[in-house]
This record gives sequence, structure tokens and C-alpha cells, in this order.
Amino acid sequence: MKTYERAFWPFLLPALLVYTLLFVAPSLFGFWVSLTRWSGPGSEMTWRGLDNYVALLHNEVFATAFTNTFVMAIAGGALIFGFTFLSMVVLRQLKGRAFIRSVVFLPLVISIIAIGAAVGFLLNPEGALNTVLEWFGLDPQPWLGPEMVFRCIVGGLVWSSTGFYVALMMSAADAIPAHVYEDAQLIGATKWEQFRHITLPLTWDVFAVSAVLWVVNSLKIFDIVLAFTTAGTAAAPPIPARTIAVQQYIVVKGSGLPELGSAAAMGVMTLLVTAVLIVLTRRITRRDRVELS
Amino acid sequence: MRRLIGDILLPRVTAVALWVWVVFNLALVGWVGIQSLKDSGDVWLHPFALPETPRWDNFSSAWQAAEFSAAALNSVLLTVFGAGLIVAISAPAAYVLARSSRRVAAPTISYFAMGLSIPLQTILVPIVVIKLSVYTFMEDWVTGWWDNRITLLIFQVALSVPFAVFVLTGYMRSLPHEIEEAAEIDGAGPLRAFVQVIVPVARPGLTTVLVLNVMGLWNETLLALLITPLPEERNLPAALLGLYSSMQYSSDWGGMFAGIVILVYPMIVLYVWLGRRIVDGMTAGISR
Amino acid sequence: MRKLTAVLLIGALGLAACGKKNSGETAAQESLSYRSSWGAAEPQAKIIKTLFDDFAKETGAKVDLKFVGRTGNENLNAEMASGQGPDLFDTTTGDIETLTAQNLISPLGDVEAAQVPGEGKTVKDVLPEPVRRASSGKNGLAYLPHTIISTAVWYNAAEHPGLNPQTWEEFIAFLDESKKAGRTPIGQDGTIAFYNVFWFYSLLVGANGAGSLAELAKDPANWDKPQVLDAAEKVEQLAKGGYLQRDFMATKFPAAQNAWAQGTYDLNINGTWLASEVQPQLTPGFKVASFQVPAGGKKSIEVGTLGWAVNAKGKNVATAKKFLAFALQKKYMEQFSTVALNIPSRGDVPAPAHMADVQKAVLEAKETHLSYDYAGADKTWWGDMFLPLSDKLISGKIDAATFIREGKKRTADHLANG
Repeated sequence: MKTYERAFWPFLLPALLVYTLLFVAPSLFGFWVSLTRWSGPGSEMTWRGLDNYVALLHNEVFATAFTNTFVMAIAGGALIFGFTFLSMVVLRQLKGRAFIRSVVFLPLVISIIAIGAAVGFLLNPEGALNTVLEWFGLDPQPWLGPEMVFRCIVGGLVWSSTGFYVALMMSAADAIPAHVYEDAQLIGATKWEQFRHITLPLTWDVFAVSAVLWVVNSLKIFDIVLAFTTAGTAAAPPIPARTIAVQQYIVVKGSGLPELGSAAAMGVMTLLVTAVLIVLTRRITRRDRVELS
Repeated sequence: MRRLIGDILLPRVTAVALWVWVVFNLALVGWVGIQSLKDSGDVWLHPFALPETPRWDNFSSAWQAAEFSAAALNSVLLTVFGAGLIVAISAPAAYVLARSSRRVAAPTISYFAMGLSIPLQTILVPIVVIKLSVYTFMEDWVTGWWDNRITLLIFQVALSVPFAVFVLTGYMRSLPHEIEEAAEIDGAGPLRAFVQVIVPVARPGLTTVLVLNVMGLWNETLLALLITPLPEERNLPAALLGLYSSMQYSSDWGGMFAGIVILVYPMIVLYVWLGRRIVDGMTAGISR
Repeated sequence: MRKLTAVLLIGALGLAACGKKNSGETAAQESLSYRSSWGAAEPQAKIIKTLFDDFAKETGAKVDLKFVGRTGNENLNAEMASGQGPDLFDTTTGDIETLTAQNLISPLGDVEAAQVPGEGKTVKDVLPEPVRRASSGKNGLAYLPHTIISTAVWYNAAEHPGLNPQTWEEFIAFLDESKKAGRTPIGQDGTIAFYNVFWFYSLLVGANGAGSLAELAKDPANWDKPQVLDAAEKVEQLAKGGYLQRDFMATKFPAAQNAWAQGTYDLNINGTWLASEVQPQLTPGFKVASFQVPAGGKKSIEVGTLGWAVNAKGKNVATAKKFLAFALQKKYMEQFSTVALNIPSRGDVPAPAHMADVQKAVLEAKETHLSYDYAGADKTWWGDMFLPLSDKLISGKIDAATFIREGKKRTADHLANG
């Protein structure tokens, strides 16, 4: 018998147990809590059936958080991969490309909370960005006001995450042998065409993984919202800026009675969004593997 | 026309945009450093001026206010143990799942992949509840004490296992089958064979998972806020949030920027030093 | 994993071996733990630290202080409910009801009767009646207050000596004059919804007394009272008049209050903690002073308090209560005035000079109301419905009539969906 067949259970069990006991089982417990009204251990748990879900569907604030999360995943994803693809067109040959790749990745190693502190100075009504706009005779904008704050957060997110996906995709592109591009140049392909017909197809598998990775990460977005709005104060972030994770955090921490049932119901609803988005992503990115022979 | 857009316009514009981006990132990092040396009034009034006289005491006040030494230690321990445990648990499982021809293997892989689509939110409430219960249980019945940092570590590991198993299974599949045969002939036990033969070959994949998890764990905020609220239990992001809060209420902006420098600059130095290796390590396993 | 197995194993062994609860070993030494919502760098934290140190020296008790700050106490309530958490924690007027409902706070009737060490007076004697009222729930005194908080409009008395408009018209006249002189009359940190609502709340409750805001959450019909429209119209007037700084809804807190301290704006509506928060930012010669929002009518004054509550399920309830009487000594309460620049809870300790009039107003007011008129008790109504609506009113997105119509409709919806 092969080694790995003999070792099958001993090798698998630790991961399986940790995952089942500490991840899957709590998820099921979370589903159970979502059907009750409960303030946590030490308080009474009362059965509510689907009432938490019904209440959430009626709750405009949750609806905003829900939509925001969705928009963030899709619009943010489109921007991030758009920029990533554009970078891939030029980054193969550009002078200083190693340097660019490193610096673009930099926000990833910086805590988002730290970035948030700078945001106030940059995006405040009297902040740096508006000052620069005024030099050019443009109107200052209320960047962090209710109408624009969400877009600014998406912008911040794109700024801080794109470097990661550039790094991922470029390392896949690096593996493509140079002679392929040389041949393409000989037949007169432009840089865009080289990207479109060589780089992209050959890195498509990595893109598929990256896209799923983005979807999973985007649904957890939490700290950047705090960083751009009310981090450090007792106030809750303004409603137009909230994601589901933020809304849930507000409900869990609650200055009054924590409503864990409602918070758990939000979690279950996020699960649905995630599942839908992952299936969509898989469908969009599915295609036959292209290989160089 | 095609040439104009595809060969000149598009690449040029993108190149300029990339350089603007680079300059912005560098300027931001430099600006934070300058701000950290000003007094609070100047931070606010003259955000782009150089400090008149550098205020090094901002750093000591930030260090004390945020209890950064404890936080740094917590972050390092949580990250090192967390990432180590994740790989130690996931790699053997991924290996046998990738190799085995048993009928349970494929459904088990899907079972782990399912975990990828369960967002943190779904189990946030259970985690809070379990955290409280575990603490009470351990304190009342078992050890007489408990430390929430252990709870945080356990959950960080559990939450990261599905992704690690998912990525590593894919990676292990791509390894040639011949490598085990050497070990078989050698007659080594499964564990020794795994450590001595498979791990060295699978190193790029393992490094990727390790680096990705190190980055994730280092920046963990939401779980840390909920599980470890006390100053001595905090990790760095939570401590910085605490400092941020405290400095806002006392308008000590110089101190706040000093805190950011303390948190961010070491990471940048580390990144510059390890730079390529981090990024390469991070991506080597995925891009196979 | 090995760690986890070990933990589980120890768990099983522990259960099998002793099979009985670890009784919190009756230590010979008293001990006391406190979890603070102040950050270690804030002056209050420093005062409280000395206080605990002195208490430890005096009684030999072992004290354990944690200065957590505003973020970090997120699940303190849940922790205490499950039997964990500190002996003493920080709380404020607005939280009494929920804490009482969850049986998290030990009522302090016995502390009221206790002697303040070395002064020959009881706790009840030194705490003025409005202060005790703002710190009590249905079971009597809920926590021991150290600081009085109230809301006022703040200005620089060096620039505008004796500014104290008595009517809304006078107030608007001042704003117009300021605008005409090319200044920005009001600076507002619009990101903080519960600062924006200060205007509406002060106008409504100031004129109509306690309960006039809270009742809006209880019955949609209350929105039809003319007083509600009147207050809303005044807020609309502020919004439409352009008296607040441009794009004030987009500030990153505390940009506006800092700029106010630099003299950029004439007025800032805020709590009595304002001067303490902006202290390092004040321009030289700035004389902080305040007046009440000229609401007219009953001239009700807000009285809220901050203080220490005793965790009912804590391990050292008796020591905690002993500490409270100890903490109320004059020499400590004076520091809340001189060092923390806030109004101390004791009537016989003077507030910082710039707030002497607020202290006097609070202690002598005929009509008082609690912080936010206790309207925040229904969290969903307050946070998800009322504050967002109030934001729309003050930012000029909706007019007063729409505010009333929407408020009434949404309150009805909220009450129907429970």
C-alpha cells in the first residue's frame, strides 16, 4: 500500500476535525442562533423562527449594507482587475518594473487603520485633495459626505488591494517564455494584442483563482470602512458607508442589548451572497486550460 | 490607428498612471514620517510643512499610550504560531487528499472548498459566544484561568484551514508521482517520508500559503476586536485603533502619527529587505 | 491542533479529576478590577490611576486596571452577563436602562448611605439631587458619578465677550452678523450623527422638557405635536441659512472641533468635554465659554453623568462599593475639574472657570432632562431611523415637513415590525 494511503486518516483528521468542529459546527450553530432572540450566554434564548430575517428584509439600513457589500464586490472587482490587466500590458517591459511592482504592493503591508488616519487629512473638506483641486480651479468636493463616502471607500480599497493582484498575475505572466512575445512582435502584434492573445489566456487559471479570492475577501470588508469614517470614536459609521460586516459588528457590540439573533441572520444572508457570487465568478472564469506545447 | 492605441496610447497612459501611483505611495509614507515629528497644532495647521523642531517625544508618548510592546509581541506570536499551525495542519491533509484514490477524497476536497464560501460573518456570533463560554468553562472547571489570546489563535487557525487545504491540494496534485517512490524504497514511516521528501519538493506551495497567512494574521482586526479587547491582549491593529481613538480625544495628532510610524515602518523595512522573496513566495504556489 | 487536543484533554482530565467548580479561592487579600473606557493617555485615566493606587495603599487591596479606550469594550455587556468582566466599569446616563434590564449593575443604595472617608458626610450628602437623578434607574442609584455632562454652544469669549442670546431671533441675528463679517458661524463635525442631533434635541427638549423627544419613539402620533415641527423648522433654518461650514457632513472627526479651537468658526455645539478634548489645539488667548441653545419655553437643562458602575456578577462587589465611597473624596473630585477640565459630580467642587455657569445652571435648574432625553433606549429606532433622518434635516436634504412626515411613518413601521 502506498504511503499516502496508509497515512490517509492520520494526516487528514487534524484538519478535518479543526475545520468541522471550529468552523462548520459554529456555522450551523450560527444558523440556529439566527432563528432566536438572544443576548448571549447568561441570558434567555427565545425562539423567533424566521422573524429575524423578516425584520432584516424590512430594515432599510441593512438593505443599504447589503447592497453596498454587493456593489463593493462587483464594482471593486471590476476596477481592481481592470487596473491589473492594464498594468500587465506594460509591466513586462517597462523600465523600473521591479520597483513599480514593489511599491504598488506596499499598501498591503500597511495596516488599513493606519491608512485611515491619513484619510482625514487628505479627504477632509479642507484637506489636501481639495487644496490641490483648488489650485487647478476645480470645485472642492465633500469626499467623506454621505453621497461620496462609499465611492471613496471603494477607491481606497482598489488602491490598497490592486498591488496584490498585480503581483499574483505578473508572477504567472513571468513564467511565459520570452520567445512567444518575440514571435508575436514579428507578426506585428501591438502590446495590447500581445496581452489579449498571449498573456491573458496563459494566465487565465491564476485569474480564476484570484477572482474567487477577491470575492471572498471583499465580503469581509470591515476595517477600511471604519478607517474612512468614525474609527476611534464611539459613533457608528454613517449608513451610506456600511457593509454587512460593519452592520453586524454594530449590532453585536451594541451599546444596549446585543441582538445576536439578528446578527447571526445577517451572517447567514452573507453566506447566500457569497455562494451566489462564487458560482457566478466560477461560471465567468470557466474555460478550457490553455497550455503552451 | 490600432497601433496608435494598442502600442502607444494605452501603454503610455498606463505607464504614467503607474508612476503616479508609485509616487503617491512613497509620498504618503514619507509624509506620515514627517507628521510624526510635529507638534499637534502643526500637524493640523501645516500638514505639508516640515517640522520646526523634531518632536521625538511623540514616539515615547505613543509607545506608552498604546502599549505597543505588548501588542507587538502578541502580533508576532499570533502570526508565527497561527501561520505555522495552519500549514502544519493543512499540508498533510492536502497531501493525502491530492494523492489518494479513495472514494472519500473527492467529496472531502469539496467539503473543504465549501469553507471558502462561508464568510467570517456567518460564524462571528458563534465565535463570540464560544469565546465567552470557553473562558467561563476553563476558569470555573479546569485550569482556573484562561487567556482569550488562545481562543483568538484557535479561531484564526480554524478559519484559515479551508483556504490552505484548497490551495495546497491543487499544488500537491501538480507534483510528480515519482517523488514518493524514493521514500517507499527507503522504508521510511509516513510522517518521516512526508517531512523529508514531500515538504522540500512542495516548498514553493507551502511558502505561498505561509506568506498569505502571515499577511492575513498580521492585519487581523475584526476578530481581534471581538475576542481580545484588553490592552495587554491586543494585537497591533487593535492597539493602533485604540491609540487612534485615544489621540483623537486628546488631539495628540503628533503622537498618533508616531504610532503609525512605529507600526508601519518596520513592516516596510522588512518588506524592502525581503521584498521580492515575499511576493515570489506568495505567488509561487498559486500560479502553478 | 496539538494544542487544541491538549486543551481538550486537560479539559476532560480536569472534569474527571475534580468534578467540582473552582471556587474563586477565598484569597486573604482583597482585590478589585476595573475596565475603563478611557484611553491610557487621557487625563481621566491618569486621575483614576492615582485614585486606585491610593486605594490600594490605604486598604492593601490588589487593584487591576485596564484602560481600554472607546474601542475595545464592545462586548463588555455580554462578558458580564456570562459572569466574566471586571468589578467596576464605566457607564453613563443613557445606558442605565439596558444595564438594569440585563441585571448587570449592582444597585448602590448602600453606597449612598456610606461615609466619604474623612469628611463626615455621606455619599448622598455630597451628590446634588439632579446628579443623583441622572445616575439612577428604577432600582435607585445605578452608578457613582464622577463627572457631570451637558450640552451647550461653545464660543471664544475673548472674541465675543458675554455672548448669550436669549431668544432664537437673537441667536439667528448673531449668525447673520457673523456671516456678513465673512466668518463661518458654526463648525460641525457632521460625520458624528449624535452631534448633529444636538440642535434638534436641544431645541425640542429645552423648550418642552423631559420626555418630549423620547415620546417620539413611542407613538407616531406624537410627531404631530406643533412643538416638534417648531424645533424641526429651526434646524431647517440653520441648514438652509448656510450657517454651518461648507460640506460639514464630510468632515473627518475631530476636524471641525479642532478648527473651531483654532478660531476658524465662531460656534460649536458640543458636550462639556469639548474644552478638554481640544486643549492642545486652542489658539493662544482663546477663552472657552458657552451658552444654552436659546430654545425658550421651559428652559430645561440637560444633566447627564459619567461614572463607575459595579458589576452585579463581579467577584468583589463589597470592595468595589468601598472603593466608590473612597473615590468621591474632595481631593480626587477636584482633579476631574482641574486636570481633566470637566464638571465634577460633587456640588461643592467648583467646575473649571469656563464652565462655572454650566455647573450653576445644572445645579440650580428648575427643569432638567437626561442626556438625549433617554431617546436612545430603543437602539434600532434611534440608530437606524431617527439619527439618519436628523442628519438629512440638518444637511438640508429634507425640509421640516418632510422630516415630520417621514419620522411619523417610519416610527409607525418600526413599532409594527418590532
